[in-house]
Amino acid sequence: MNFDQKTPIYLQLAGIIRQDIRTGALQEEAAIPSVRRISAQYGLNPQTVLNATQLLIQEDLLEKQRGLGLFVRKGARARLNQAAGDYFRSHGIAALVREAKLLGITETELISLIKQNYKEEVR
Amino acid sequence: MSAPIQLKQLSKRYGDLKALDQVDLEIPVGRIVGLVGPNGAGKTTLLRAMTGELDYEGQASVLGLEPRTQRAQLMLDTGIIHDISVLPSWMRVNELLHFMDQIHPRFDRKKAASFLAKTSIPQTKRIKTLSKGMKTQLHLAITLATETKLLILDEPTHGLDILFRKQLYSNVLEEYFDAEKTVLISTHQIEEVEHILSDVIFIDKGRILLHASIEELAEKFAQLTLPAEQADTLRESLQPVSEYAILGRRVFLLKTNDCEALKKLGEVQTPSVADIFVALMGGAA
Repeated sequence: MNFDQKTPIYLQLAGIIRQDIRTGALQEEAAIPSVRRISAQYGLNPQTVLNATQLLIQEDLLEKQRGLGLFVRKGARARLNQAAGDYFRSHGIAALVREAKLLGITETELISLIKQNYKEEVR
Repeated sequence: MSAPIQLKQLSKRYGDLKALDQVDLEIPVGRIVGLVGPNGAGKTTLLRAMTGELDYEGQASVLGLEPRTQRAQLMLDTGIIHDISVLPSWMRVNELLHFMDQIHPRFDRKKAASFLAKTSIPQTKRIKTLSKGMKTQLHLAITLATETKLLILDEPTHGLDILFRKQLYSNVLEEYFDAEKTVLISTHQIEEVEHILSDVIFIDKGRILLHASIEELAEKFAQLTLPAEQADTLRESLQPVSEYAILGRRVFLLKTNDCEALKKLGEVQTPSVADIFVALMGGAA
């Protein structure tokens, strides 16, 4: 795993876990791997992992079940996707259009490119 | 609980050469500490003095014991891996496991065997026929299967390929480390350990240049990227520890207490441990 230098590592790890919840790689109401496991997997100090999970607990995405570890909260996925969808509609599309304009791609061409990609089912 | 490693005015002399020069050091429990320095800085000498392998001047207390006089007792609770394999080359792997079982009260043979099962090391082979990577894996299996309070890794990944390296640290984190243990890693490959560490110690010419937690480093140092002209006017007042040019801009590495003020001047990043190390060493050379 490559971490960048612009953002604190614990925030980047929190982002990875959020993404895993969104995609369903981490299922709602299921346990996430232990701090020890995550720390070994990503080569991170356990405190860094604790800081990330602490943040996600504060965001109500994870919850602690005594003696059992950390679990993904029910509704976490929908909530994250709601937020990501809002962001995509407000900023993601705008960024795409801005880049297209910069490249001199016309509206019609952009739309047909989008249609083509939709068919190919990107990811 | 008192700090597992306490050194006061620790010195080691080889003739005129001061390999260690009045080292004061205290490392609390539950930390993963990186000992970083160029070749000949005194890393291995420090580790060997700490474990009573070398005589020294000054005071040392490791796990509450004096390494010089209580070495045997200290070794019961200390695991060490040096870059050079010290395993008896004439033994077979299973003989080594049996041997460890006989001599070390806290060796868990089952745990060692389950480790080895995850590797491709055949238990019936003689140690001298194993590859360098396998020897390190075997040593690690033996060490991690022994319940110790202190783990010392002296350039553990020296000569190993990238997969072995990652595996090694991953094993230490998963199978060994917890809040009751202390891990000390000496290395000059800072990049591969920097996210694992809770603290770093920079050592050069037998002296400790810096001992800080990773959080403290992030607070004390900043990397500021500026347009070249602006850099020229600010250089005098900012006094960067080091700088380099990148695409018409300048990157300053600064000692600072006030990252917020810097953000008004340009783009601020947290420098990597390697960046800080290079900057400080450049200044010392």
